[in-house]
Amino acid sequence: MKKKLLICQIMWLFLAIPLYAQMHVGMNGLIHVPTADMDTVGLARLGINYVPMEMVPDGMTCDGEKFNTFTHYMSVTPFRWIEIGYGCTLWKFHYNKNPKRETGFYAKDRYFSVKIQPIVEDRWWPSLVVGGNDVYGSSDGGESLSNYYRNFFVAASKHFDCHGHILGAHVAYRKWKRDYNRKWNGVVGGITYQPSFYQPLRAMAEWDGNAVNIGADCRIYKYFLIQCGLQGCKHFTGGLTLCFELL
Amino acid sequence: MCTFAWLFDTCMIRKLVIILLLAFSFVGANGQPKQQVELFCGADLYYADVNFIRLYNVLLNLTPGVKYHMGHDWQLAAQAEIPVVNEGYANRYNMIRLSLAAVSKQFHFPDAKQHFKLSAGLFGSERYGADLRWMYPVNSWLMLNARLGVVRDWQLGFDFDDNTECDFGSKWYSLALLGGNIWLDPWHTELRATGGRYLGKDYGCECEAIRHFNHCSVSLFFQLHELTSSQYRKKGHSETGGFRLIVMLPPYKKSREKVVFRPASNFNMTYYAQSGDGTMKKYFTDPEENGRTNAIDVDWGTGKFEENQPVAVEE
Repeated sequence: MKKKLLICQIMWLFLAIPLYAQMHVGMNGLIHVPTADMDTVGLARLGINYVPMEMVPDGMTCDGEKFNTFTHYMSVTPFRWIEIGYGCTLWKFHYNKNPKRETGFYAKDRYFSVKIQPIVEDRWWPSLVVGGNDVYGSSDGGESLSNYYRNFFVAASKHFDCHGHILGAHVAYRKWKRDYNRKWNGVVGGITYQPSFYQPLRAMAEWDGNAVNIGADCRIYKYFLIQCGLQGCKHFTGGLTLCFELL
Repeated sequence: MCTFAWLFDTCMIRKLVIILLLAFSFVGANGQPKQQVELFCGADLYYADVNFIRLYNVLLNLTPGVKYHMGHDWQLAAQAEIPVVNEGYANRYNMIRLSLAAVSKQFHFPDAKQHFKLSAGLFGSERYGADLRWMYPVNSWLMLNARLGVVRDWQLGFDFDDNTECDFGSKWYSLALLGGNIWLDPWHTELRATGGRYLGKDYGCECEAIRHFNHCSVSLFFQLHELTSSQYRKKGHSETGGFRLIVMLPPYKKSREKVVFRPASNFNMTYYAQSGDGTMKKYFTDPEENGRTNAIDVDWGTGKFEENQPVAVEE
């Protein structure tokens, strides 16, 4: 009986569905690079992520210095061809904006993200998406003063099955709005590897335009997705996402 | 003279509401009386990002309520608000409040495809008065609807520090909305457009695209509205957008018991990218009103979902 229970528990652990994320903004992707992969229809995510200061836009500072922070987000794929996300990056400020008071996470930057996939991957063609982060902003003057994360991209992804092992190649062209983010402009991309013995696990390496990042993500217990990585192969980033099917 | 004029108006409106209620109670009713009492409890969560003292101002209330389905499409509903957490909202929200006490009656004319709902009493969003809704399912994919309301302000609450609040305003506000819904059946998707005059005497319109899942609806909306005169910003027009999330809570199937204890039927959340600052204000006439369930029991769109089927009480 105990053996059966143990087997059931192990089976439950391995009952994992492939699902991957660019988790600091809550959208499907690698670590800091978007891909053309899409979630299944009706999948919603809710999660938090630790972001090292090297991945934070240079415009986000406290007393002129960048800071490590956290993001939280939710996203949903209402149709096969579109993914929509809403995220917040916590921002260090002085309490009540009083320079004499202590600093803490008293503010946040909010942003909407969207991805649209006009071409689905097949035997010969890669999947293709167009999208952006921080795509909508408004203020009294009609033009947002923030848009720290605003960028638009075109991305393509192709996967190859090698005896059960899956290799993925991802490339994107990305353009950031703010000048201080120009180091991430241009062609970016990465490769992924999913072993045949446990495909929910995905190892990845990417070039985000400024640094090489490595990491891995894995969906476990059906409802959770964890991601760990090293920005610039040095600085830890990682997070946890709650995933649930709405259909 | 002004006092008499106000009295005349008030009496006229009261009489009109009573006459309408009595008149309509004899027409449009169908089926045998099936009575049921539902006792439920949910939670209201308000949050706002407005200062540098904390991440969010948070207000969490428990919202126990009761619905008495009296038969012949009559319903009596009441709801209270019991504060649990108040971080940053005004102290008056620490009071236990009566948030709704209203009677409503639905009128169905299936041959003419006309459906009405008349409500009167103390509504949510601190308004009291009368409200009339109309729904006209033209065909399987198009429905027209309208809403007309005449209300005043009210507040009623108390706490255990002997603070009380009992105020019934004397100024009338009106609400007049007209809209259309399009149902795209293969994708369980609904497109809505509504526009009209809102409680702040402001005009506005809203477009919304809603994707309905099994027990959840997600929508994106866009609003174009007039800035009200009460705002500190200059007059003109402004726009905003955002999303709504409506999660239906189990049990999804309505009970046939005569007395039902259950959690609230739904949890819903609306996010505005930019605060409307008092524009496009409405009120709710049902304690469990949400964007997924039709305001009137109409067999159209989400009205066909199992969770929205009318109660069939055991006799």
